Amino acid sequence: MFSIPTKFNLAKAAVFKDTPAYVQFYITARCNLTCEQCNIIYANADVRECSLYEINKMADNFAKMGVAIILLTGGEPFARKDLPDIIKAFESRGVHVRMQTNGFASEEQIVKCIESGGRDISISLDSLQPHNQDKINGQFKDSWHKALKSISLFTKHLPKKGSFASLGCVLSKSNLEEVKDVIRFGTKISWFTSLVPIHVSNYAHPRGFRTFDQKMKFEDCHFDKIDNLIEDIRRMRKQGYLLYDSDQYLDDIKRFTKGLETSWRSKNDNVCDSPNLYFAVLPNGHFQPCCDFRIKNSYPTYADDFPKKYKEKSFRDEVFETTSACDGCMYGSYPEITISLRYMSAKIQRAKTFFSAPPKKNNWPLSYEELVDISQDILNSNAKEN
Amino acid sequence: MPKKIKFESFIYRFLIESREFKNNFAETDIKLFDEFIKNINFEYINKKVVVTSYKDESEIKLEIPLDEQFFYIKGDTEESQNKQKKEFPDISSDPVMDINKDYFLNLVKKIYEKYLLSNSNGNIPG
Repeated sequence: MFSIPTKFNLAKAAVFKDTPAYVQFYITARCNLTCEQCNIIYANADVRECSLYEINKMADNFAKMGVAIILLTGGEPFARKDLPDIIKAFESRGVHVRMQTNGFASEEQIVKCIESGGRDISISLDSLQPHNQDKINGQFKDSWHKALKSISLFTKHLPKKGSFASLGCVLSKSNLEEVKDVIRFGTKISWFTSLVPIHVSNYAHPRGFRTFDQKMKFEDCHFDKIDNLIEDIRRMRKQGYLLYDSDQYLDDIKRFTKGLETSWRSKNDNVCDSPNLYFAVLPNGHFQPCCDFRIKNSYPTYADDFPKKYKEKSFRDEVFETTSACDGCMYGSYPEITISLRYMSAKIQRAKTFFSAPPKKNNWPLSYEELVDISQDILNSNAKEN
Repeated sequence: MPKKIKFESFIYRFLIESREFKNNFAETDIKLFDEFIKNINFEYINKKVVVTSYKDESEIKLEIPLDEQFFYIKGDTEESQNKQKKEFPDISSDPVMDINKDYFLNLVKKIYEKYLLSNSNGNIPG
């Protein structure tokens, strides 16, 4: 799936731990949905969106800095009309693009993005029950069906070889009983699933991505269910189900949901690896350590001197002031990159995922109707078992 | 019901600048300010945000129209770029962010002043 420059930059990051292997670019805060677990569309609303000209300059800088992978996220990234040009800006410079959508994308947009070099897609799917997905997405009708239509279009237009497709599933009270079905569904259609537990904060501690809704917080009565779920899906992965998450990450989900300290930052004095291995970029193109925090000064990543600034001690100190005060997160990519690049067992597991047994995708393309049938079959077999 | 996007954006930005306010004003009584945030409430009424905080028996209330902030400024087309350049003088790499920051810091200050004034012993910071 990865090009030679991307593999080289990932290897460099693994050895030296000071190459930004991964950047999350929040290209817009605009979104067609208001998902109950998401706050980022409000947190990033206050900045302007940068221009394609600035994004091209940013791509120049990131190529120079050895960025291996850039996630184009939002809001809903497909809300930006110039998304194909943004993808081209990075891919043409050897930076691997991961796209994200909630199902908003039209066939024309999807085709253009794939033609621009996008081969890696993640679609949000939290449930196989349409009404539950619609509730999670903020009571927007047909959002589940739209997500399935998008999945169908990607299976139609993505090449079977050299592409990667995954479902992003947020673990919350709303779908605790349904996560295994999402993984079963993903596996049937040759898509991986990766889990992120819901993050909740309060007015005294506002964080970019975390909902303020205290009703969403896991309670004591959920902890056993979560532990059992994690062990079940770990077993499923061993049986060949396409679950992306590492063992250590799964264990940390159990700890995090109980409010306990997670393990993934322990090799770095309980500080994450931002900005050494990863960082985030706001819609205006400015640097931020992650989706939850900004730093005091502004550093436009498209500025000519950003690669130099990135290495300066004063910049590093400013970021460290924020990251060292953070009590941790479980936002999928940051923990997984630290785990993959700092722990040998995870390295081996990840290498297996990408190199030794990639899913065959023999049943691609899948029509929307076929996807609905697969989903219904999974729900029906559950009903029979019960 | 879908959340009100501008309303939620207002709440988040207000809380973020409240933290800035708390960090930057040495004379602020931190305990009192924390109480102010702890008791704060936001309501969406007729395209306005009603910010309410409670101190002892008194209620401090301020109505703010939701068309005074600059949220979701597009930049993905030539047209939207031209609009950005026309509406916001090129004083920094992101004038929109700077204007919003000043706006919300002033708003926090204004509401907190009201809150302090509801107590005869209060000191007005800033």
